[in-house]
Amino acid sequence: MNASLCKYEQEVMKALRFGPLSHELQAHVTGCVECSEVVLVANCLERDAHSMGEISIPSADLVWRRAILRSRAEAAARAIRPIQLVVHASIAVMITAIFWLILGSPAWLRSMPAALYTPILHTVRGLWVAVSFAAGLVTMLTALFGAVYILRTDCVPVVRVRHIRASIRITTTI
Amino acid sequence: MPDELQIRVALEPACSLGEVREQPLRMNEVVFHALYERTARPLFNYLLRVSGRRDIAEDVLQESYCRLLSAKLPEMDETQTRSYLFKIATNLLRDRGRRNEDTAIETVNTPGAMANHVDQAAMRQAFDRLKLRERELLWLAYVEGASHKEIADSTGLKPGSIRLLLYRARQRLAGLIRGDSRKKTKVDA
Repeated sequence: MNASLCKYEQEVMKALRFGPLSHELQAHVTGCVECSEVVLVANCLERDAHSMGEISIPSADLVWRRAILRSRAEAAARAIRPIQLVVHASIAVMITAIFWLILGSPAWLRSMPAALYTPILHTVRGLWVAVSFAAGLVTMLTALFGAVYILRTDCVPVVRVRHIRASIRITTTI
Repeated sequence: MPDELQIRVALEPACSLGEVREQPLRMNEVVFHALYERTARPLFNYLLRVSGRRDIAEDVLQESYCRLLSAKLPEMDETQTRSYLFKIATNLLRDRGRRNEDTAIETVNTPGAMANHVDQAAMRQAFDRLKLRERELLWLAYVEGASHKEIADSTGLKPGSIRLLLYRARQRLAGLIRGDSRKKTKVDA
């Protein structure tokens, strides 16, 4: 689209913001379709914005409290994350262990025909031993990293004491 | 000497703050209050006119400040912070639009003599008929006095395309205002 963009547009906009238009600009606006639109729209919107001054807005306290609550919720979610990881890993290990126990002592399988029993069981046994070993290793590592993370996060007693001291000082002075 | 109740009241928030180490906010409460005083009104007006709904404007306003407070950003002066707030607010409004949560625009009545003005009412109706992006562009340009670059930052559009988009939006709004005014005049006659 070939829009007819007037070179005085920016000048008119600036002038409208900082006071009445000069005589030259006023004369230009009268003859320029684009600039007259600028003046019309800018005046209407400015009047509208001015009329909105009496509408109440949420207080700063409310917004601040919301931000604090959000920050706490995020911190709590972050603190729980390693614990959740450990729980999930434990569940995975438990399931693996159950399968391993069933296949590791296959007394009931001996009653099955020998042709079906021997080759399949050897393969499955080997696979499950490897899987359970890997799962155990992953769980141990997760638990270790989780513990380190929790200890690192909780290791802020100085800040806590400072908060308490500051509060006491404020109360006594009041 | 403070009594036991006073100490307990004072300790409660401090202890609960220490229990979970919350993410440090971007600024302290005093600085935030000062910033809010200077920037909340124009941002709220922008949100109210662009969204057309008070509940959305209030919600997005609060959410924008919460995001600003928790954002990990380099140091910014007030102009940049203001621009950043408008950017967050614009994105939040668009997200809501995409999810089709807020389809209906209601005309928000404003108190004062201006609200009863015929031209003003026509303008508001015409403005509500524009597309979301057009409303954003026009408000930022003509009420906030934002430069093309600032508008581009806030809206995520290319700086080079702002002038043309603004021209089209302005042309459309002017047409709608004139049309509505003419209709009003005919009805009154």
